[in-house]
Amino acid sequence: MDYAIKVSGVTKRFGELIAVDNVSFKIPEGKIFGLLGSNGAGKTTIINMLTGLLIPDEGSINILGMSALSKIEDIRKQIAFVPQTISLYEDLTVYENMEFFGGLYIDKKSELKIIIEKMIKNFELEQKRNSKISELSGGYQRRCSIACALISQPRILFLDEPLTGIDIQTRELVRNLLNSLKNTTIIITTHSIKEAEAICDYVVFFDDGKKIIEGRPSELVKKYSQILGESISIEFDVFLDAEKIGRYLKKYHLDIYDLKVSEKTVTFRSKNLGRGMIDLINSIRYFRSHILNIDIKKQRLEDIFEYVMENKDEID
Amino acid sequence: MRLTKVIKKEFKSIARDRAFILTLIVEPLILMLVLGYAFQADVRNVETLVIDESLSDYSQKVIDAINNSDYFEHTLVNITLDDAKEELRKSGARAIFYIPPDFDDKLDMAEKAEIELYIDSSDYTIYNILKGASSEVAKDSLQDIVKIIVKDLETERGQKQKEIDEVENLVDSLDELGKRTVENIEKVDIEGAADSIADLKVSLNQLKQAAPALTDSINEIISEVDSVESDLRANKKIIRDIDTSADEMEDTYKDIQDKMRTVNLELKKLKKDFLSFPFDIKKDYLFGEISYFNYLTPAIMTLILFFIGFVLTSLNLVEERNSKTLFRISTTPLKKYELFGGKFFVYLFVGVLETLYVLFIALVLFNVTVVGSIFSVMLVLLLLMATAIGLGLLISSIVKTMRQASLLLPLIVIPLLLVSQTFSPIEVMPKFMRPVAYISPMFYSNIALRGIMIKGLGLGDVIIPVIVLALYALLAVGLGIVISKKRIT
Repeated sequence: MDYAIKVSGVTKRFGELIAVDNVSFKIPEGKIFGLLGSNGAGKTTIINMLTGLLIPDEGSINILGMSALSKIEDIRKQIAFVPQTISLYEDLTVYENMEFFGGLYIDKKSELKIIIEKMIKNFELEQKRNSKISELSGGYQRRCSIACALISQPRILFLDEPLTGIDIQTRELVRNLLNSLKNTTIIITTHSIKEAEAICDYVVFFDDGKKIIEGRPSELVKKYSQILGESISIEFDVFLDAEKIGRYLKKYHLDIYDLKVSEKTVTFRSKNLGRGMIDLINSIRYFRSHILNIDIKKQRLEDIFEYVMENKDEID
Repeated sequence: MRLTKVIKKEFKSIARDRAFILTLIVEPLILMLVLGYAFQADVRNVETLVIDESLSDYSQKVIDAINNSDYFEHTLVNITLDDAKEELRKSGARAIFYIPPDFDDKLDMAEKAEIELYIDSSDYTIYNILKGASSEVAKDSLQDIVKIIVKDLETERGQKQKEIDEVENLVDSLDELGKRTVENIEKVDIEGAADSIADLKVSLNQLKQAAPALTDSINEIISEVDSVESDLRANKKIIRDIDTSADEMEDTYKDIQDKMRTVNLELKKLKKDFLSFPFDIKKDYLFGEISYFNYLTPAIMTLILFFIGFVLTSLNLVEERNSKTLFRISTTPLKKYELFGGKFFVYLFVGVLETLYVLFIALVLFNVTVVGSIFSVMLVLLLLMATAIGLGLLISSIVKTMRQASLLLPLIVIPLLLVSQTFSPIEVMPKFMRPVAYISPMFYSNIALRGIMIKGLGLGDVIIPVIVLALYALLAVGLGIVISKKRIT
């Protein structure tokens, strides 16, 4: 498999702070890759190193077969970066911004024009082409920002929190557009695990500058579902006494974790769904009430992220 | 060419920023107006109280001189000096001229007469300028007062001359009489001689009255003449004696004549002394009379262009840093020198337009004269602009936020401006501070521009400041690019 990016043993320090701590990962070409983690996890530092804005203190970064240290000028011709902030010229129009940013890659005017028109159409910016960036809503600004990066048809596209703070319509549009870019490797940083699960082919979880886990979202869900079990919530017809249920379950049953009781609903995890259900239904008799609804929820990447963050010390 | 893309983008940005364009148009006008008129080192029409206790022709001349001076706007007041001082403390008056009652008497007695000037020294500029202005008033009034004195002396001299003429006539007739007496004696016409002697005596007595200074010598002559007369009347033959006396008499006439010549000479000298001062300094201004406005114009042009170049460039880059566009650009193939080069050219172009505009305002609206070549002026301003832009790039690579910029820029611009001879010559600084001026690019621009605009020097004559400015420009732009490249992220 060809790798678009190979990161091995990279460390970056800012004074005392170790922002990225001995991180290694590989990103296959043409995939959508998610760098996940809460704020301050080191995602942005990694992106800055991948785009040549920061130089790692240790380790090596290889992009499209070239060293990010020595060949950054060549690398930059084939990558594009969409920062978290809009970072467009607010006093210029949508078209002019595309013309400028695209013009940094494409010299031929006619060629540039055709691509810009295509971008305007793809991102549904026809009505806004002559509006200044400062006059646009956040959603349209984001569309233009991403469109500007795509004009050069980059082999690698870096998106720093591309889906935060935008309307559902734009989110849907951007998601579809990113999925349609078959020849571009896309690296997304986000703290929205839900978004990452929806778009990314592969994700890496970071915390405190360290890589915690990595893998395809579906594989991660499958793997951790075996540990976490499934999540079940049962609604009763009476108000429940959490303490009583807790006491009861503790006394007689073992296969129920993370029990939460709120008004008439009980939520819990169980690795063995059938066993867990029987245990709980038995307990209902004890409380003399009836079940109104049972909801079995599969584990999501979000749940896994949460679990991993809480138990990161136990995970290899 | 990516450079042209940057240039194109910057121009679009500027063209769209109406407030910016308006500033470019209005700023030089306001600065020229404010600096040219409101900010004057010349002090004019200072409110001044005048107390005249002498009330003489002389004191009137002093008041006239105060009136004629541009520095003072005077009010004649009839109050005591102490009241006037109190007034100075409270009101807008800045100075008091006090002419004491004995002013005219002292002058008449040829004693040293004094006028007192009280200056409000709480304002440094007023204090400093009025110190000089007062001696001007003193000189002007003294000239007028001396004219009065000389006029009086002239009249006196005229009267004296009349007297002298009279004496001279008398002496001439005496001479005649003396000669006749001698002739009569020689002819032994005793009667005739005695008559002549009598006439001679009458004339001598007249002379005595006309010229009292000569009384002693005339008395001497009279006594001799008397003895001659009595001898003659006694009919004694002592002709030889008479001869001798006559000779002596002739000598005495000569003495008298010498004395009178001396008197004439003294009078002439007296007249000469009073009609003119011993000496005066004749001032000649090598490059014509210069107004503060003319002096200031090259500096205002320097100031405006330096501000535009320096402040705009640094703020422009800080803005790009804040909006993260600089960050985004840094990940594109655009090279730093292309980015800075593009900005450099755009701002230089704006600078050229602004230079032409400022020159137009100065020449057409404010009638400033440029003695030397306009092209040399343009060249100097261009070099200055290049330096300013280079420094702007340099600063923007250090400054991270607008807040830092708003603190740091005045900290750099104000000292650079104050040491640059913009408002005052380098001589106002103590010697150890003067080398500081050499740091300021505006210093070199001011020297070169004043040389060209006021002295009419050619580019060759101001080549040193021009070269320094050019080196400064190169260094600033070069360092700006190098440092920005390192510190951009």
